[in-house]
Amino acid sequence: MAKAFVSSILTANDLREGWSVFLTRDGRWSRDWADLRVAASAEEGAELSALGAAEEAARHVVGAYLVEIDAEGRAKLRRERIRAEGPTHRADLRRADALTEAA
Amino acid sequence: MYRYDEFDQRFVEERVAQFRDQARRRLSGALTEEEFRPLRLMNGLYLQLHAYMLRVAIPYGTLSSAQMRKLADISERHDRGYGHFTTRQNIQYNWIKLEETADILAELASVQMHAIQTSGNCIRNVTSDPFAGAAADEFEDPRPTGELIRQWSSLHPEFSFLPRKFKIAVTGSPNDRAAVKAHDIGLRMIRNEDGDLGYEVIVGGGLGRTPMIGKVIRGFLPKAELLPYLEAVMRVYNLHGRRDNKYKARIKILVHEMGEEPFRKEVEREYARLDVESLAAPAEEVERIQAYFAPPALENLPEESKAFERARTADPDFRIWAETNLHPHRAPGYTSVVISLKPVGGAPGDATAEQMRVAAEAADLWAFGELRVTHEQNLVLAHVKKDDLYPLYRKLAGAGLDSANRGLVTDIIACPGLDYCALATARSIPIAQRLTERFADPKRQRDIGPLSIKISGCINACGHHHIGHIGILGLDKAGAEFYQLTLGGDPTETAAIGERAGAGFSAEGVVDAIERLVDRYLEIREPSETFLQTYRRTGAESFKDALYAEAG
Ligand code: HEM
Ligand code: SF4
Repeated sequence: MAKAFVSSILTANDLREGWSVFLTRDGRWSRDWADLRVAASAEEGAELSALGAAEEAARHVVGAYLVEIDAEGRAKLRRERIRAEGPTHRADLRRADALTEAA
Repeated sequence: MYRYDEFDQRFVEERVAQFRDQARRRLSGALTEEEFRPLRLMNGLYLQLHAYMLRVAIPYGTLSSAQMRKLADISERHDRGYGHFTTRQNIQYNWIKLEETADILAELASVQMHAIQTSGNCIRNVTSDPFAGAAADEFEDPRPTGELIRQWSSLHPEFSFLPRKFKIAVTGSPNDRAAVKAHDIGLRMIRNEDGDLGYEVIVGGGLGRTPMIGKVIRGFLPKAELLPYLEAVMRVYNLHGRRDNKYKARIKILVHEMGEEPFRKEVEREYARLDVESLAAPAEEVERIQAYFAPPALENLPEESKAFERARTADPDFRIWAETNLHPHRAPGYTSVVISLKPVGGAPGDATAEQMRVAAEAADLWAFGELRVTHEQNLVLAHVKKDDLYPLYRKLAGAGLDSANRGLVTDIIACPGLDYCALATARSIPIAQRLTERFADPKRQRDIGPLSIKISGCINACGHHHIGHIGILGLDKAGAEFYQLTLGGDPTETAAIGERAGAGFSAEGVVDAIERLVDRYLEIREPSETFLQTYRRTGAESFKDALYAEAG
């Protein structure tokens, strides 16, 4: 049986600047994890992936992939939360609204 | 100190121009990421968890104050005001822009630095003893050997597509401070019965997912035969090393699978076939290189310094710092100074632009304008007059560079881990932060004595955890960070891979577990015994019940 689809957002790295970016509802790449376009079904997931590939081909970003989110809209994996919120070892390197527990 | 000759300078500048063009073609669409990736990696540019990461080589860990200032400038202008000094004696920047990388490489080239051979399946930058050329116990400065190897290997057509990356370390002292037994090739200078200098050649060490201690394949190699002999080792590796599986491609696997003795025989057979004369470095070349590393003009000084003694009596913090952070120098009245990059609560090896500048200034004022980066992620001023120690210390203290903990429990090595690294399974830095906080008390640290804790955020072992007295490996268990301990590792001439202690610990639990370990050591040690000595005497069992007491 196919794995049930988990709601996901699209991330990549900005090709020029390198920073991790996230695709917003209005189709922009943003450094902020806010107002992101969410794929709620397998079809929407495939669409979002295709969009990522197109954005790579257009040389806006590099390394696009889907990130699974939980019911609160946060990345499920710690890795992805740190990627979105910044390193956890220095408060000044983190986003002000970072939620990931410091170790 | 080493300066590029004209040829090298032109080579580095050409590489910068080449990369500028490659980056331009990537941005214009002429190159795909697949095509561009190997090119950027050849120039030290990785794509990491947050952004591009640039790894800059610091050959044998030696750099000038001007180079250190350039590193500071780059961190400010092109990054977020800090850099990370690593176990490979290089520096990494975490927040680099692709469109600025060629400019950064050009700036580096202007002070004769580069990011070449920090990545890829080539012979990587040679590492050595941070006290090279200064240490009291040294036969000879190991850096000319490193440089000879660099020049020989840099553009060697046979060696730029090896089965896998290749790391060489050299120590000029019988006391190994370069972890040579944990490298693909380790060279240890020794004297034979006739008093001639040569190398003990150690092959097949390495960490990563299959940690191995290198095997001595030649007990004494006359100095002049170094390059031909290395050529023979590399040929055997190139011929027989596995290319089908990247996890089995390192030379350690070859030595292990072939067996030590057959491998040795194969090397000697290859060596017998080589034209040793023509492959050996010409004597003039060796002399030329040696001259680059000529020691600075040291004064004739008395062994004791009155100014030092006075300051030691007057300022107890200075006295404590001087007890741990100095290293014996071969010349009377001089010492080497370790600048710890391990403040309580800090990220091991991180330095701000301001700290890099202060270290550079201190080097200019009191250390012949020269600095070193250690594989323990600290800095060293190699040649300092004892007379100058107090003003030097005051200057360091003003920039938070005065942690008095070299070699103690808070002098922790940690890889970037999940805070930066795309391959990580768990975080390393926060564990180091919690541990340094837990053991912050200077009196307690000194009572514990020499103890190295090394942390890696995944099995690649960039944090050298296998050779820490206490090693910590961060893993992921069903979404939770989870830390496995190894005990009894040793990076020195008595090298050993640490033994797994048993079940792992949570992020919260691991700090308590280590505290229990340390307390057990304090209970059972004999007078003046170090942690490692106690562990070797009593074995793992006497520690395990302390570790797992809580669980029972
Ligand atoms: C952050 C990006 C990094 C990546 C992607 C990376 C990747 C790797 C990988 C894949 C290995 C295993 C190689 C093998 O066994 O064949 C390795 C080993 C190693 N790396 Fe890193 N590393 C990174 C950072 C570092 C840093 C920051 C240091 C220095 C602190 C470092 C030093 C080492 C060392 C000493 C080894 C030891 C294993 C050996 O070569 O035998 N690496 N790294
Ligand atoms: S050990 Fe793993 S987590 Fe740490 S830097 Fe190396 S690859 Fe990254």
